[in-house]
Amino acid sequence: MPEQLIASAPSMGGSPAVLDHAPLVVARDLEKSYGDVRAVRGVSFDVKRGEVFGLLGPNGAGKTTILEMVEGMLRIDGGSVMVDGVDVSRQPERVRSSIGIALQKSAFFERLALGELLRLFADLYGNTAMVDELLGRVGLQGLARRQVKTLSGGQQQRFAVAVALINDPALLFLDEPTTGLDPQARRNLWDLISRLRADGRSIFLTTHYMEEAQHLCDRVAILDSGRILALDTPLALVQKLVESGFHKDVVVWPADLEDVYLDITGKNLRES
Amino acid sequence: MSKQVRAYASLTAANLKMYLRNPVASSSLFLALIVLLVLYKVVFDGPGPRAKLVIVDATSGSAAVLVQDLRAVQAFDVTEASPQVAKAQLTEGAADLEVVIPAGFGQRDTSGRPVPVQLEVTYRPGTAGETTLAQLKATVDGYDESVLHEVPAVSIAAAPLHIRSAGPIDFLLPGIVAFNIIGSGLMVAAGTFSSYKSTGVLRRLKATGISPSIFVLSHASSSFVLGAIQTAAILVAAGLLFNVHLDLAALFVLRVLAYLVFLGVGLAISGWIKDPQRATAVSQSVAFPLIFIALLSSALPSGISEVTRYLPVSYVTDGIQQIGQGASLGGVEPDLVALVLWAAVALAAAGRVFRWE
Repeated sequence: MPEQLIASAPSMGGSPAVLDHAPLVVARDLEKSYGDVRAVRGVSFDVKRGEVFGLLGPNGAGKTTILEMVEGMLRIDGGSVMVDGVDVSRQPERVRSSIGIALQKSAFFERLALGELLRLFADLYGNTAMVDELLGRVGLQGLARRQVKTLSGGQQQRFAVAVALINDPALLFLDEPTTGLDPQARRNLWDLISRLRADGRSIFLTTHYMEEAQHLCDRVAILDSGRILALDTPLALVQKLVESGFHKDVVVWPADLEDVYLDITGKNLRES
Repeated sequence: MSKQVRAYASLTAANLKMYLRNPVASSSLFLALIVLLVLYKVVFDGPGPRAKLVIVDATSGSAAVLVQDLRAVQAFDVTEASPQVAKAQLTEGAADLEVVIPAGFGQRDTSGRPVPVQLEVTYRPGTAGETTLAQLKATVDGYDESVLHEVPAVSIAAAPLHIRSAGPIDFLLPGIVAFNIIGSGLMVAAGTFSSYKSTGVLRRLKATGISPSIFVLSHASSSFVLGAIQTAAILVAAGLLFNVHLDLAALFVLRVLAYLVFLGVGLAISGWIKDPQRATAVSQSVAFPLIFIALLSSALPSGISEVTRYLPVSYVTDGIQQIGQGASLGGVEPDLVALVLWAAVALAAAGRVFRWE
């Protein structure tokens, strides 16, 4: 008979670097409809300063819609969002210029090199681009003359994060940042997100991967059909489930297939 | 420098950089227009086609001067042959034109006056033999006057009018410049914006919080600079090939206004249609009839031109024609006013339908 085990080792996000009591994002009763379809139904939550907040849910649950309403990228049909005290409905441009956004699929001008793009975006934000420093922070040092289309998927995602950091935002939005990446690239991006959080930034991300949420997020909201069904720390959610009598048969293996894969192929990124 | 000005300047410079790095896409249309001008020069300004003229000389040398005169005409490639051979050449197409000089040519009557003769001329219809008949007649008339001193009682002396720019190029050049403006304004704007929208580039720019007007203005500025350089090159080429001189200030203002009109139309199309392929197809469907009108504005039937004269392209071609004939800024004021109104309408429509995504 297999040994029974409650979720064991993975990090539950660790203790936040700095947690101010005043939330950075306050969303109340958010509503969004596309025609007759109510994509978001009365969603409320806060994002605290210095935390990594994750939205989890199946496809079509409303994750990206909520994220984009908070970013000021999408019109809010009902309810309200305040980002660092600014009403998103009233001043979406002001909110967008103060936050960092890495879209699910970031696209940039072709025929401009990474360094030129960073300088262009710095000008759009009214900042000065520290090109080498930014590229170094996301592990793309020495690639300032390359064009985006020549980068691997993981490098493109990290470049999108570099662009999102140009205005030195306190709040960073990452929409499914690791979708489509190989294990090395995913782990590399996790490390980057952890470093950004350690800098004291708040991060609001969406993901399909529970392992990712468990590894990165201080708190998560689980969505389905436009509603938040649960919101708490990953550990508290697991404990709540276990306390409700849930159990599953688990074979405790000292490693999983991803560990084998990384052991064989190494943890180094495969990018030229 | 304010944030808005800095964003505008940086985007404009980035756009120009991208144009320069994609020379085929940004200059193929303009180069094609330059080639069109060169071809026009070669076809319509060259020596023209030569007629193969075969002479059947039945005289015993009295027509030598006339034959010499005919040989001197550049439009004729002259040979002499017997009546049978000449007829065969004409039938087979080896000759375009046959001139039979009768035996009595050059004879004089008892009072010393030339005996009237008639040259028998046969030509192949639809060939250079037909188109050079007038030159044949002129050569024979010249022979009459110079050799026989037979001056008609009534004659005309024709001379071309010397104006600053004359000839068919006056009608072609406005069309070519309008073509360039429509290409760089309407078609490029519609294609580029739709492509940026569908790939998500516009969305990423929206995420920075910049105002749409800054983005549109920077794109308009960069493509205007590019288009102005191209128009200048077309005009320089026209000047070198056809000796055309234009009032540059008037042309600049006309071009700015015309560009704004077609940019507005292009933006409106890209705002209205998200799919880049459909936007390109629609922009071509709009552009090509306009280009047709621009190139053939002087040849359109009056019924159609009564309608097309109110289109922006007609004000562009009319304005450039006027400038080509020496008009300055004041001379094209009605065209400029009409273009201002059209630009206001087109840009207002573009503003209403503009979407980041």
